[in-house]
Amino acid sequence: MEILQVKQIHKIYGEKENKVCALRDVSFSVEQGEFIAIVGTSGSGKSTLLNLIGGLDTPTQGKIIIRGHDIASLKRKELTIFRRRNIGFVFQDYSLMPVLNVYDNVALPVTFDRGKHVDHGYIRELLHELGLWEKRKRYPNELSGGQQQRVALARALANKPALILADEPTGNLDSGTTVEVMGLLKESSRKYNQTILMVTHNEALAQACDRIIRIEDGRLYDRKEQPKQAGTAGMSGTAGKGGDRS
Amino acid sequence: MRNALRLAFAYLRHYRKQTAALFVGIMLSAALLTGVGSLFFSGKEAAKENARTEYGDWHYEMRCDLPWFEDFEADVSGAEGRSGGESPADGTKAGSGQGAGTDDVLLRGDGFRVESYGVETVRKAISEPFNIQYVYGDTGYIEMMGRELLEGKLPEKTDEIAADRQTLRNLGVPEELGSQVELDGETFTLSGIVAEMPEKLGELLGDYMQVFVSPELDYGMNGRFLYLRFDESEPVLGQIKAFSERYGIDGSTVARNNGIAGYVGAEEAKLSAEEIRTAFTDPTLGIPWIWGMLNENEALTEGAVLLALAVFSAFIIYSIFQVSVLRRLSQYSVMQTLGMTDGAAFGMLMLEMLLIFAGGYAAGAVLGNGVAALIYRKAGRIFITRNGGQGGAVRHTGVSTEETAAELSVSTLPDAGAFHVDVKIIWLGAVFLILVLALISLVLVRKMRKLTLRQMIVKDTAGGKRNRKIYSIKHENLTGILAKKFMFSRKGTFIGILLSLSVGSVIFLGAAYVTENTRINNELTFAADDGLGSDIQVYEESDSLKDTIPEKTAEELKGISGLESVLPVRYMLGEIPLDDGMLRSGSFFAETAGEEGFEPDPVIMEKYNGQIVQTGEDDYRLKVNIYGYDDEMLESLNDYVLEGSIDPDQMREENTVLFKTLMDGQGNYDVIGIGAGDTVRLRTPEDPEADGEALKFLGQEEEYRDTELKIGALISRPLAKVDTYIGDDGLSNVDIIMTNEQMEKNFGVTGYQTISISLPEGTDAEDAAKAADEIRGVVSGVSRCVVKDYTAQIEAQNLYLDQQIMFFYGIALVLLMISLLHIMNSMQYLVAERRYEFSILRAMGITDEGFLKMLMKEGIRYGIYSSIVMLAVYWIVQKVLYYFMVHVYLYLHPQGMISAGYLIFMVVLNIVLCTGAMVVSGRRQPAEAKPQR
Repeated sequence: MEILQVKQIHKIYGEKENKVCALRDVSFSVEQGEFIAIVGTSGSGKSTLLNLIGGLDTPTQGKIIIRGHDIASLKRKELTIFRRRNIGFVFQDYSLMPVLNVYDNVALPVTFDRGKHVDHGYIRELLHELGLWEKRKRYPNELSGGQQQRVALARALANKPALILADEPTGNLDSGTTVEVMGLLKESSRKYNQTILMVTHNEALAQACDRIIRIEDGRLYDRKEQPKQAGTAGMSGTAGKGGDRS
Repeated sequence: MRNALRLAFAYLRHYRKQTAALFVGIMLSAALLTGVGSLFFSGKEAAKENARTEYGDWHYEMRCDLPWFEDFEADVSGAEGRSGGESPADGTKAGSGQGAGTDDVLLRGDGFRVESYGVETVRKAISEPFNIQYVYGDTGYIEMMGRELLEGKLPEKTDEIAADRQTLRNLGVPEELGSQVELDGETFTLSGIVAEMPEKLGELLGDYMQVFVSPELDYGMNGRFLYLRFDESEPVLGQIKAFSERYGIDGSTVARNNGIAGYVGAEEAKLSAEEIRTAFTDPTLGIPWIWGMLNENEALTEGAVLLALAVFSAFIIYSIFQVSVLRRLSQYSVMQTLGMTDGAAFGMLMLEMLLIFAGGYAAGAVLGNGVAALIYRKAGRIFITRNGGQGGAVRHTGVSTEETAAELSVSTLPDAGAFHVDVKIIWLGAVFLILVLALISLVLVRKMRKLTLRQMIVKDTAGGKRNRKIYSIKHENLTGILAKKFMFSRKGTFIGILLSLSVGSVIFLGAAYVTENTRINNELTFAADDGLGSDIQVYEESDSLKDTIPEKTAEELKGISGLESVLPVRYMLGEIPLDDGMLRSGSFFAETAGEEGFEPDPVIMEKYNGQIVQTGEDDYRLKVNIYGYDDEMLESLNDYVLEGSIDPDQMREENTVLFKTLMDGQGNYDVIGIGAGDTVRLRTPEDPEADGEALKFLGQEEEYRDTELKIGALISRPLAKVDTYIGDDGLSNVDIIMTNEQMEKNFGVTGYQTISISLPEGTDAEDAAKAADEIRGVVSGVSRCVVKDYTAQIEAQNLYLDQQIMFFYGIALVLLMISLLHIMNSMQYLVAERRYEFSILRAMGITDEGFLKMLMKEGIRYGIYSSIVMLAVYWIVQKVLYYFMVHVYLYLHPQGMISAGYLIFMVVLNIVLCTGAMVVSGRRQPAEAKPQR
């Protein structure tokens, strides 16, 4: 099932001589459960693309359709609600609320939906799955970077979104933790049939994904990934074993 | 330096709103501080100039027919010679005290600068027909005393004299040049008429009249006196000490001009540590006494007000600038990482603040003084220190109440004169605030350093116990929890913000509380002490109980149309025993105090054997005024009740009375150990028209009757008063008040001593004069009956009081405005500080509505919490203010609590402002974006 369709997207910043074309005629679609890496050099337009898909920015031209909704046609409030129900974000700096403990951080996006009861069973499962249950009462600054990113991932999954957008999720982590987090992303994608779009400039990480979308100078170079290698499979094997690095 | 300047300018331009907030904050604070300072200063200058006219323009006086005077004259002549002035007069004619040189200093010595001097030579003093001194004064003396020649010339021949008109009138000499004046068997010709003596000089140097005689006239018993005026830019006390030392003058022979001493630094530092210690251990002294000793010419009060304003300004500036800096801490951190030292960071912050400060303070000083000049022009008199106000009232005997009224009313206040900019407060304020700015910069640099370190060590905020509760299990909506958590996440900051939010409100409430009580006090004092409670007073200008206004006349007065009320008052003189220590201390009365300088009034001593007589160790007999009021006036006394209640019908029925008790210097009413419900034994002459000896209460027992009367209520002031017997200034006498009917029943008094008449509100001067004429017509046949129209004085007084209250409210309003600015700024800071957290919430999908709700919740919480802090702090402040109003400023019946309306208004305003400012600031946050630190 097609979860996301990106149709002939153009994004232009500035006007006249200051005009910068960040994205040009970008089109692709994503099937449910795919784990896709968006790869490109710095300034290539990959973060712009992620922002457009996440509804944090609007395209100059073209359409983005998520679960059959053209997000450009949604009103501001509708878009906000649509986004929180259908898109989960994982940021490079984790972006956790420092004043809330792990459990409440994870539940936070769900609580924004008035009347919608928080599925505590699901959150418990997520926390167990991500090895955070024991740390559910801890505050973000009491956790290691890897643990914080796991909390961010749990939070992104809490609303059972159609799509998870991860912007350089391992950018702040050391290599060991990077492997661990990548494993978790992969595992989540598999276990919850979750669609994940991950922006990275790390080619090796991209190789662990189902598909790589390459962007250069705002243009797209799409290619289907080769069948998985033994090494990438090993990554997922580490899921759930991420140690406490604090 | 140039780079720092460029950077500072760049920041100012970039953070325009913060710059503007800081500019406005500094400007308003500076305007308030310098404006109020200048108003006080101008009032003081006017009072000082007035004192010069009343007491003469000199600082010290001493005998100078002594050898040291020659040295002094030689020094003066030397100084004049050096400065190119004229040669001085010879030894017998002391030179004029005009300043020489460009800086008006006549003689510079080690530690003193004489600006001018004058010599008065007393040739002769006679005591009949009056106390008169024959004097010769040099031009310096004549100028100092303001005794310029109005007509003719000063005496040149030995048979010529010059005098002022008042003296001539007293001597019965026609005020024409050439008139013959007989004095002590000699005949003089009037050669000139001079201006009157300074009005209050007699208080300092003894009451006498002066006639000027020729320098040639010499009876061989001269007394020569030197009057000195020092440079007032330095305290004159130090100068006279240096002067005395230089010339070997015996300090005990030097007299000080007390009239202007307080304005020119002639007062000794009055309190020693020992005295302060004693003051604190003696309950009759305490803080009120210390304050009173130090508060010469209200200097301490004004200083305290200015200090409070300065501290408030400092606080506001700190608060606003902190917000500005904290918003860009990250940039400073980057610069520090790049190698900027703490010193450089301090310099940059300081430079930036100084740039805003220079503009803001200058603009504020101009604005403040501009507005102050306008206020001063309109209502300058309210800033002039009133002498002889409460507690300083003079006892009057055998004279009309008009004098009391006039003395206390604003009509005796000098003209406000010109507005003076208080340059000193501008400089002091600037220096103080610059020091504050330096301190702020230091604090901020320290904060920056701490924060940068903290950023490196991520875990440092996790200190202490943390709440491990999971809220999402029980709460479906976490925004309220978040709002609470945001507030309490840093308790120090939270408490700081609450305090800072409430401080402005507390100052405003304090100002409003004092203003409210000042208004009440003014009204009550106005009606009671000032004798201006009624528009027209009809009274017997007599000290004989025989002279009364007959009942029939009072009835006729009531029949005059167009009068609002006619309130007749009966009077009787009485005496009460205060036995067995009932009077706390005899020191309250001059008769029993036995203090030097606190002498009993000789007239009262002669006519009534004094106000009080001691009959045993702790036993006294005190003269009291007994008044009969009518019901309306008795009802009005309800505002002055200390204990008990007033019910005229009950008073008539049970023959109870009101006891106007005594207040001590600290506002306590326990000088006499008596209260409502007690009985007082009142002795009065048997004859309601008793006269002479009988009023001394020394006659035979059968001449008097003793009446036991129960006290229905204890009151603090009387209303209508009769001060032609033992006097009644409303403060230092005990009065027994009852109904007019009781006066007749108890003592047989039927006539009235005084009648207070009120005109309908809005009666103009012409109608008032007409009414007064009609009243005069009615009382014309009554012996010694006088009609006084006070409408003009009342109008002036009301205007004065209104202006005073308006000014107080004006100040309170400016304070409120500044604190509002501060609250908005603080809220903006709170939101700015949470920018990151808010951006996460936005990215997590909180709607605009939800976000707004969360901010509103936080704003409301801040409003409520800061209101609680405000009420708590204000409660303490109010206690202190109440203490000062009761015990130091002796306010009449101040309210213990400010009107609830003010508190409700401030609480609502706090909540609305905090919420509003929070929402407005929140709207400026990015809508949806990636969270960025």
